[in-house]
Amino acid sequence: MGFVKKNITWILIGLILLIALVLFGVSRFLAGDAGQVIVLVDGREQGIYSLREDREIKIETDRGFNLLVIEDGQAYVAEADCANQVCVHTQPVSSAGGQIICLPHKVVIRLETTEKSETDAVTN
Amino acid sequence: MQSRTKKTAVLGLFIALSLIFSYIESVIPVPLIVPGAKLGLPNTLILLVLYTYGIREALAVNGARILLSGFLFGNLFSILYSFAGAAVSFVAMLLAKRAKIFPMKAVSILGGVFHNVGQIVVAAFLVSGVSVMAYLPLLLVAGVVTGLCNGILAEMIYKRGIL
Repeated sequence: MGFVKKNITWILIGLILLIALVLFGVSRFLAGDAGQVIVLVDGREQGIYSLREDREIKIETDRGFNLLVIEDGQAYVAEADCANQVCVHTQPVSSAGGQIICLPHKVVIRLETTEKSETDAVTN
Repeated sequence: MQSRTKKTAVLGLFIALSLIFSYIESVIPVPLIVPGAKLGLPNTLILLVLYTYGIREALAVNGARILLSGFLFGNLFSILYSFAGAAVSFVAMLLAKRAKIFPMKAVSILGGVFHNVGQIVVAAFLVSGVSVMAYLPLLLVAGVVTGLCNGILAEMIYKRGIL
Protein backbone atom coordinates (compact mmCIF):
# COMPACT_ATOMS: atom_id res chain seq x y z
CA MET A 1 0.00 0.00 0.00
CA GLY A 2 2.91 2.29 0.80
CA PHE A 3 4.32 1.76 -2.65
CA VAL A 4 1.06 2.71 -4.32
CA LYS A 5 0.67 5.80 -2.20
CA LYS A 6 4.23 6.92 -2.82
CA ASN A 7 4.07 6.47 -6.56
CA ILE A 8 0.44 7.35 -7.17
CA THR A 9 1.36 10.16 -9.59
CA TRP A 10 3.42 7.85 -11.77
CA ILE A 11 0.79 5.14 -11.62
CA LEU A 12 -1.78 7.70 -12.75
CA ILE A 13 0.45 8.87 -15.61
CA GLY A 14 1.07 5.30 -16.69
CA LEU A 15 -2.62 4.50 -16.60
CA ILE A 16 -3.62 7.51 -18.72
CA LEU A 17 -0.85 6.84 -21.24
CA LEU A 18 -1.98 3.22 -21.42
CA ILE A 19 -5.54 4.31 -22.18
CA ALA A 20 -4.21 6.68 -24.84
CA LEU A 21 -2.15 3.89 -26.38
CA VAL A 22 -5.12 1.51 -26.47
CA LEU A 23 -7.38 4.15 -28.03
CA PHE A 24 -4.67 4.95 -30.55
CA GLY A 25 -4.28 1.28 -31.40
CA VAL A 26 -8.02 0.81 -31.77
CA SER A 27 -8.43 3.84 -34.05
CA ARG A 28 -5.45 2.70 -36.15
CA PHE A 29 -6.84 -0.81 -36.34
CA LEU A 30 -10.20 0.44 -37.52
CA ALA A 31 -8.66 2.76 -40.07
CA GLY A 32 -7.20 1.54 -43.33
CA ASP A 33 -5.38 3.26 -46.14
CA ALA A 34 -6.94 6.57 -46.92
CA GLY A 35 -8.30 6.99 -50.41
CA GLN A 36 -10.44 10.05 -50.30
CA VAL A 37 -10.81 13.42 -48.66
CA ILE A 38 -14.24 14.36 -47.40
CA VAL A 39 -15.09 17.95 -46.68
CA LEU A 40 -17.92 18.62 -44.24
CA VAL A 41 -19.29 22.08 -43.60
CA ASP A 42 -21.65 22.34 -40.64
CA GLY A 43 -21.96 18.54 -40.70
CA ARG A 44 -23.07 18.47 -44.35
CA GLU A 45 -20.94 16.89 -47.01
CA GLN A 46 -19.67 19.53 -49.36
CA GLY A 47 -17.29 17.52 -51.45
CA ILE A 48 -15.33 14.31 -51.85
CA TYR A 49 -11.93 14.40 -53.48
CA SER A 50 -9.39 11.72 -54.29
CA LEU A 51 -6.20 11.76 -52.24
CA ARG A 52 -4.26 10.56 -55.28
CA GLU A 53 -4.89 13.67 -57.34
CA ASP A 54 -2.94 16.78 -56.44
CA ARG A 55 -5.18 19.81 -56.31
CA GLU A 56 -6.21 22.88 -54.38
CA ILE A 57 -9.76 23.37 -53.15
CA LYS A 58 -11.13 26.58 -51.79
CA ILE A 59 -13.78 25.74 -49.21
CA GLU A 60 -16.21 28.62 -48.99
CA THR A 61 -18.50 28.92 -45.99
CA ASP A 62 -20.78 31.66 -44.68
CA ARG A 63 -18.16 32.32 -42.04
CA GLY A 64 -15.03 32.42 -44.24
CA PHE A 65 -12.81 30.27 -46.40
CA ASN A 66 -10.24 27.50 -45.97
CA LEU A 67 -7.79 26.61 -48.71
CA LEU A 68 -7.36 22.84 -48.75
CA VAL A 69 -4.33 21.45 -50.56
CA ILE A 70 -4.04 17.81 -51.61
CA GLU A 71 -0.48 16.94 -52.50
CA ASP A 72 1.54 13.70 -52.62
CA GLY A 73 -1.14 11.72 -50.82
CA GLN A 74 -1.39 14.27 -48.04
CA ALA A 75 -3.96 16.89 -47.23
CA TYR A 76 -3.46 20.14 -45.35
CA VAL A 77 -4.95 23.58 -45.01
CA ALA A 78 -2.61 26.14 -46.53
CA GLU A 79 -4.61 29.23 -45.76
CA ALA A 80 -7.72 30.30 -43.89
CA ASP A 81 -9.25 33.53 -42.69
CA CYS A 82 -10.38 32.11 -39.36
CA ALA A 83 -9.43 33.65 -36.04
CA ASN A 84 -7.37 30.91 -34.45
CA GLN A 85 -5.54 29.39 -37.45
CA VAL A 86 -5.58 26.00 -35.75
CA CYS A 87 -6.43 24.29 -39.06
CA VAL A 88 -3.41 25.89 -40.74
CA HIS A 89 -1.12 24.75 -37.92
CA THR A 90 -2.47 21.19 -38.02
CA GLN A 91 0.04 18.72 -39.43
CA PRO A 92 -0.79 17.28 -42.86
CA VAL A 93 -3.01 14.19 -42.64
CA SER A 94 -2.43 11.14 -44.80
CA SER A 95 -4.08 8.11 -43.17
CA ALA A 96 -7.74 7.18 -42.82
CA GLY A 97 -9.36 8.67 -39.77
CA GLY A 98 -7.06 11.65 -39.89
CA GLN A 99 -8.88 14.95 -39.74
CA ILE A 100 -8.37 18.67 -39.85
CA ILE A 101 -10.92 20.75 -38.03
CA CYS A 102 -11.68 24.45 -38.27
CA LEU A 103 -14.03 25.17 -35.40
CA PRO A 104 -14.69 28.84 -36.27
CA HIS A 105 -15.89 27.88 -39.76
CA LYS A 106 -17.39 24.54 -38.67
CA VAL A 107 -15.34 22.80 -41.32
CA VAL A 108 -14.20 19.21 -40.92
CA ILE A 109 -11.80 17.68 -43.43
CA ARG A 110 -11.62 13.93 -42.99
CA LEU A 111 -9.74 11.15 -44.69
CA GLU A 112 -11.52 7.88 -45.29
CA THR A 113 -10.95 4.63 -47.07
CA THR A 114 -12.62 4.48 -50.44
CA GLU A 115 -14.36 1.15 -49.75
CA LYS A 116 -15.94 2.34 -46.53
CA SER A 117 -17.78 5.22 -48.14
CA GLU A 118 -19.07 2.93 -50.87
CA THR A 119 -20.82 0.78 -48.30
CA ASP A 120 -22.11 3.97 -46.74
CA ALA A 121 -23.49 5.06 -50.08
CA VAL A 122 -25.28 1.75 -50.45
CA THR A 123 -26.73 1.71 -46.97
CA ASN A 124 -27.78 5.30 -47.32
CA MET B 1 -5.01 33.85 9.78
CA GLN B 2 -5.44 35.99 6.78
CA SER B 3 -7.29 39.24 6.62
CA ARG B 4 -10.10 39.85 4.15
CA THR B 5 -8.18 42.69 2.59
CA LYS B 6 -5.18 40.55 1.88
CA LYS B 7 -7.38 37.84 0.40
CA THR B 8 -9.16 40.31 -1.87
CA ALA B 9 -5.85 41.72 -3.05
CA VAL B 10 -4.32 38.31 -3.67
CA LEU B 11 -7.37 37.03 -5.57
CA GLY B 12 -7.36 40.20 -7.69
CA LEU B 13 -3.72 39.60 -8.48
CA PHE B 14 -4.48 36.03 -9.41
CA ILE B 15 -7.21 37.09 -11.84
CA ALA B 16 -4.86 39.63 -13.42
CA LEU B 17 -2.08 37.06 -13.70
CA SER B 18 -4.39 34.43 -15.14
CA LEU B 19 -5.49 36.96 -17.77
CA ILE B 20 -1.87 37.52 -18.74
CA PHE B 21 -1.35 33.76 -18.95
CA SER B 22 -4.47 33.39 -21.09
CA TYR B 23 -3.15 36.12 -23.36
CA ILE B 24 0.26 34.47 -23.66
CA GLU B 25 -1.49 31.23 -24.53
CA SER B 26 -3.62 32.85 -27.20
CA VAL B 27 -0.53 34.41 -28.80
CA ILE B 28 1.72 31.34 -28.76
CA PRO B 29 0.26 28.71 -31.02
CA VAL B 30 1.22 25.26 -29.82
CA PRO B 31 1.66 23.59 -33.17
CA LEU B 32 2.93 20.42 -31.53
CA ILE B 33 1.16 17.36 -32.73
CA VAL B 34 -2.15 18.32 -31.24
CA PRO B 35 -3.94 21.24 -32.78
CA GLY B 36 -5.77 23.30 -30.24
CA ALA B 37 -3.85 21.96 -27.27
CA LYS B 38 -2.80 24.60 -24.81
CA LEU B 39 -0.20 24.92 -22.09
CA GLY B 40 -2.85 25.38 -19.42
CA LEU B 41 -0.79 27.93 -17.52
CA PRO B 42 -3.84 29.53 -15.88
CA ASN B 43 -4.59 26.15 -14.33
CA THR B 44 -1.47 26.52 -12.17
CA LEU B 45 -3.11 29.57 -10.60
CA ILE B 46 -6.52 27.92 -10.21
CA LEU B 47 -4.81 25.02 -8.45
CA LEU B 48 -3.00 27.40 -6.10
CA VAL B 49 -6.20 29.27 -5.24
CA LEU B 50 -8.01 25.99 -4.71
CA TYR B 51 -5.38 24.76 -2.24
CA THR B 52 -4.79 28.09 -0.49
CA TYR B 53 -8.35 29.39 -0.17
CA GLY B 54 -10.97 26.87 -1.28
CA ILE B 55 -13.63 26.00 -3.77
CA ARG B 56 -15.58 29.27 -3.83
CA GLU B 57 -12.50 31.39 -4.40
CA ALA B 58 -11.15 29.09 -7.10
CA LEU B 59 -14.51 29.11 -8.87
CA ALA B 60 -14.64 32.91 -8.75
CA VAL B 61 -11.15 33.34 -10.19
CA ASN B 62 -11.80 30.70 -12.84
CA GLY B 63 -15.13 32.20 -13.90
CA ALA B 64 -13.77 35.74 -14.02
CA ARG B 65 -10.79 34.58 -16.06
CA ILE B 66 -12.88 32.76 -18.64
CA LEU B 67 -15.31 35.61 -19.14
CA LEU B 68 -12.66 38.35 -19.25
CA SER B 69 -10.17 36.52 -21.46
CA GLY B 70 -13.02 35.33 -23.66
CA PHE B 71 -14.27 38.84 -24.30
CA LEU B 72 -10.75 40.25 -24.63
CA PHE B 73 -9.06 37.67 -26.84
CA GLY B 74 -11.83 35.46 -28.16
CA ASN B 75 -15.49 35.37 -29.00
CA LEU B 76 -18.66 33.73 -27.77
CA PHE B 77 -17.65 30.37 -29.18
CA SER B 78 -14.23 30.33 -27.60
CA ILE B 79 -15.87 31.25 -24.27
CA LEU B 80 -18.10 28.23 -24.65
CA TYR B 81 -15.14 25.96 -25.38
CA SER B 82 -13.03 27.23 -22.53
CA PHE B 83 -16.00 27.08 -20.18
CA ALA B 84 -16.64 23.45 -21.05
CA GLY B 85 -12.99 22.54 -20.59
CA ALA B 86 -12.65 24.51 -17.38
CA ALA B 87 -15.84 23.13 -15.83
CA VAL B 88 -14.95 19.49 -16.49
CA SER B 89 -11.37 20.08 -15.40
CA PHE B 90 -12.48 21.86 -12.20
CA VAL B 91 -14.85 19.08 -11.17
CA ALA B 92 -12.13 16.49 -11.84
CA MET B 93 -9.59 18.39 -9.74
CA LEU B 94 -12.10 18.90 -6.95
CA LEU B 95 -12.93 15.21 -6.76
CA ALA B 96 -9.25 14.27 -6.97
CA LYS B 97 -8.41 16.66 -4.13
CA ARG B 98 -11.32 15.36 -2.04
CA ALA B 99 -10.11 11.78 -2.51
CA LYS B 100 -7.07 12.82 -0.44
CA ILE B 101 -4.81 10.23 -2.03
CA PHE B 102 -3.47 12.37 -4.83
CA PRO B 103 -0.66 14.89 -4.44
CA MET B 104 -0.99 18.27 -6.16
CA LYS B 105 0.89 17.01 -9.22
CA ALA B 106 -1.61 14.24 -9.80
CA VAL B 107 -4.57 16.57 -9.25
CA SER B 108 -3.09 18.88 -11.88
CA ILE B 109 -2.63 16.02 -14.35
CA LEU B 110 -6.24 14.97 -13.94
CA GLY B 111 -7.27 18.59 -14.44
CA GLY B 112 -5.27 18.85 -17.66
CA VAL B 113 -6.54 15.57 -19.06
CA PHE B 114 -10.18 16.27 -18.27
CA HIS B 115 -9.91 19.79 -19.65
CA ASN B 116 -9.01 18.30 -23.02
CA VAL B 117 -11.67 15.61 -22.79
CA GLY B 118 -14.32 18.24 -22.03
CA GLN B 119 -13.28 20.41 -24.95
CA ILE B 120 -13.24 17.66 -27.55
CA VAL B 121 -16.64 16.43 -26.44
CA VAL B 122 -18.11 19.92 -26.78
CA ALA B 123 -16.42 20.31 -30.16
CA ALA B 124 -17.99 17.04 -31.27
CA PHE B 125 -21.40 18.31 -30.15
CA LEU B 126 -21.13 21.73 -31.79
CA VAL B 127 -19.51 20.70 -35.05
CA SER B 128 -20.98 17.49 -36.33
CA GLY B 129 -18.48 15.30 -38.08
CA VAL B 130 -15.69 15.72 -35.54
CA SER B 131 -14.48 12.27 -34.63
CA VAL B 132 -13.53 12.21 -30.96
CA MET B 133 -11.67 8.93 -31.19
CA ALA B 134 -9.04 10.19 -33.60
CA TYR B 135 -8.01 13.04 -31.35
CA LEU B 136 -8.51 11.67 -27.87
CA PRO B 137 -5.22 9.71 -27.58
CA LEU B 138 -3.14 12.75 -28.49
CA LEU B 139 -5.17 15.01 -26.23
CA LEU B 140 -4.71 12.59 -23.32
CA VAL B 141 -0.94 12.61 -23.75
CA ALA B 142 -0.91 16.39 -24.10
CA GLY B 143 -3.01 16.71 -20.93
CA VAL B 144 -0.59 14.53 -18.98
CA VAL B 145 2.46 16.50 -20.09
CA THR B 146 1.05 19.98 -19.50
CA GLY B 147 -0.73 18.89 -16.32
CA LEU B 148 2.49 17.48 -14.87
CA CYS B 149 4.47 20.65 -15.66
CA ASN B 150 1.80 22.91 -14.18
CA GLY B 151 1.41 20.63 -11.19
CA ILE B 152 5.13 20.67 -10.38
CA LEU B 153 5.11 24.46 -10.70
CA ALA B 154 2.06 24.85 -8.45
CA GLU B 155 3.51 22.47 -5.88
CA MET B 156 6.76 24.44 -5.72
CA ILE B 157 4.94 27.72 -5.19
CA TYR B 158 2.48 26.25 -2.69
CA LYS B 159 5.22 24.68 -0.55
CA ARG B 160 6.98 28.00 -0.17
CA GLY B 161 3.94 29.20 1.73
CA ILE B 162 4.13 32.74 0.40
CA LEU B 163 0.40 33.06 -0.13
